[in-house]
Amino acid sequence: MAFLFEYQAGQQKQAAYNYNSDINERNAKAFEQQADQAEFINELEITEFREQYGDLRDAQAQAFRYNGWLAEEGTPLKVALASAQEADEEIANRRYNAAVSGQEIREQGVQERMQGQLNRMYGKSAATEGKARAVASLINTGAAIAGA
Amino acid sequence: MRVPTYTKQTAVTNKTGATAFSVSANPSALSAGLSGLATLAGTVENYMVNELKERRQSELTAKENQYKLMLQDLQVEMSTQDPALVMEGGIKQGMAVKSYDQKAKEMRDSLGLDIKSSVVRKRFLSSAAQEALQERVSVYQDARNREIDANKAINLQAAELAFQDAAQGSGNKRKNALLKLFGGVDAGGNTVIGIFDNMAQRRYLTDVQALTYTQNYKQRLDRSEVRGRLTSADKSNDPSQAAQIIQDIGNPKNFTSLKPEDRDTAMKQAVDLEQALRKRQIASLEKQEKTDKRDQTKRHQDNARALLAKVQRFKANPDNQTYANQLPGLLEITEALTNDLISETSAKLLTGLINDQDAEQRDPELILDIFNKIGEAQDPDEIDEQLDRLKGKIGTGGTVPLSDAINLQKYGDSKKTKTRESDDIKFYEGQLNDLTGQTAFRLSGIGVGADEIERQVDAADTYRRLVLDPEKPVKPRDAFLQVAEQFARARKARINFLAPAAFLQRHFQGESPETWTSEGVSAARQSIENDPNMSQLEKALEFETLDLIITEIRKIQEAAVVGDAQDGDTTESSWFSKFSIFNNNSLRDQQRDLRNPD
Repeated sequence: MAFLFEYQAGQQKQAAYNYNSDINERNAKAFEQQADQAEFINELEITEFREQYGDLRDAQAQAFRYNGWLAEEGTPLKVALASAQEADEEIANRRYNAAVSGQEIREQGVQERMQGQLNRMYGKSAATEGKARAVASLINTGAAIAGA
Repeated sequence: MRVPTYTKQTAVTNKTGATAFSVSANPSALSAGLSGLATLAGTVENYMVNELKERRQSELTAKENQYKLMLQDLQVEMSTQDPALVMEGGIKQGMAVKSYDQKAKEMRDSLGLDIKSSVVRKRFLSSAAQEALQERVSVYQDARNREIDANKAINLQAAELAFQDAAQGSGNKRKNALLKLFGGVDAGGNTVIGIFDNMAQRRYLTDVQALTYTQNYKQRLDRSEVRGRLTSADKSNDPSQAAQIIQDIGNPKNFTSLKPEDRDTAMKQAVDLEQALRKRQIASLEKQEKTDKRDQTKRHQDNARALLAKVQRFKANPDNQTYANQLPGLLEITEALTNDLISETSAKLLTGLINDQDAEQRDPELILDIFNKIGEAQDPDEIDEQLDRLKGKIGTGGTVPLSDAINLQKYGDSKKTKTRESDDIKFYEGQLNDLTGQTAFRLSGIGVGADEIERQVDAADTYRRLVLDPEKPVKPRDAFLQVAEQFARARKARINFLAPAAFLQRHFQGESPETWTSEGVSAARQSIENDPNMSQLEKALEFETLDLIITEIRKIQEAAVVGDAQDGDTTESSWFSKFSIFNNNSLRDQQRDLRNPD
């Protein structure tokens, strides 16, 4: 009878590992979603930043004009270009940072998925172990009976 | 108005976006399956190895057990084998016999050949050799013990034979036997070792055992010698020999190996024997005296009887010259008395008889009583006791005639020797007594008429005289039939004596005494005298009967004068009176009737 328990124990272990693997898979998806969400929010913020920067550019042009300068040439233009350059760099940095952050979150998802894969492998191995132990137990019992 | 400018706020991160994975594979968990398979494989291997071990061990054990059984059988076989052959092997009755080792090895090799596995075969041969070696110790020990035991038995048997020679032999034989048993110096001056010491030297016995054996044999020899002398004294019936043994046993210098308790026992036996022998001597003398007395009595009786028989024959036949010549004379009687052949009483009796001094009267009842008592006697002493009653009754003044006395003595002799004849006489005597009513009368005491009693006595007396007739004795059965027939006729005729013989009936006209005549009696007497077949005794008896008939005839003739029949007399025509034996008085009773007084 012992071999039955050995077999069932293996099956239980595999089930536990599979459960853990499913959790890992879910976590992996959650991390991917979290990464997409972070990048999406970053784009929203970039859009908002573009609007704020448009306001700033308008205010800058207004100031130049107020001061009497032509805003579309010369220094004002250079200043405006420099601010625009800064704003582009800002956006690029933000996007870069968001991509890095998203990548980082995705990496966690990958890790979860890898853990999940490991758990599935553990589960298979545990099932195999259970079967092997069950057969060994069966043989031992048989040998013991034969030798009794 | 101040012109606003924009300076970027966000710096580029220094992160790479890659993170250090904490995931790591667990080797044991990952290899658990293979680990389990490895365990399984190990289990399978163990199982196979164990199974192989078991199979080998099982085969080995089976063969070892088989070998042990074969060794046990071999051990039993060896226990009955010659010890030398067991240990060394050899030739027995022309056949080569192998030793225990050789046979054990043969068995081992034979069993080993059946084993296919070389590993098992090697193990078996090794363990079997060890087993055989262990058994070998006990087999060889047994063989050696048996060899020693056999040699010991041979020596002890030789010792026993030597003991017998020493105890029963004499002279040189005894001397050699003692030399062999206990050692010493022989006639040639050579020192001889005793058999027990020799056995001790060869380690068949321990020194203590050898000493014990030597002492025991010496004690046995002394006991045997004492016993032999006691037996010899017993056989000799000589008390002085027993007395000498007592003296010898009492001296401690004799029978030195005898134990004190054995000496006491032997002394007691010798004393008892001496007393027994003395008693036996006295008893023997007394016995001899009794035997002499008995021989003398028998000698006296035999010789007196022979002489009396001669006298009786002569008296019965006075005209017979032969009997006359055989008649003993005074000289013969005197010589017989002088030579202690007859007693003084017999001598006087014989002297009186040859001078015609026989008994003048005859007492039938006494004679019949002695005859009956002899018949009922259980031993010779009782018979002699009855015969002694004849003393003083024979000869002058006696009531037993010589012929009756001799007949009774002969009957007594035949009864003593328990002959068939004496048994027949007693048997038919009883039958006759039953028939005549004498037995019933004796047992019940029922009264019968006086003439009935006289008839019974006459019948018994006649029977006795017929069967005891020394000249021509009638066979008991024939005598019984004859007397019974005569008794029946006498009862019918109402006479108080036996009726005459059947062949005389023709001389008497009918059976009634009233019809008898003197002429008839004379004719009957003549018939008796002319009958060549009748013995002298039978003739004498019939003559007596005729004499009684004559007497009856006279009485009847005298009674007939008295007168006619009177009232109350029984008539002759009454049929009942002829058959009743109790209320039917005989003629004599009738004559004694008050109405017909004598």
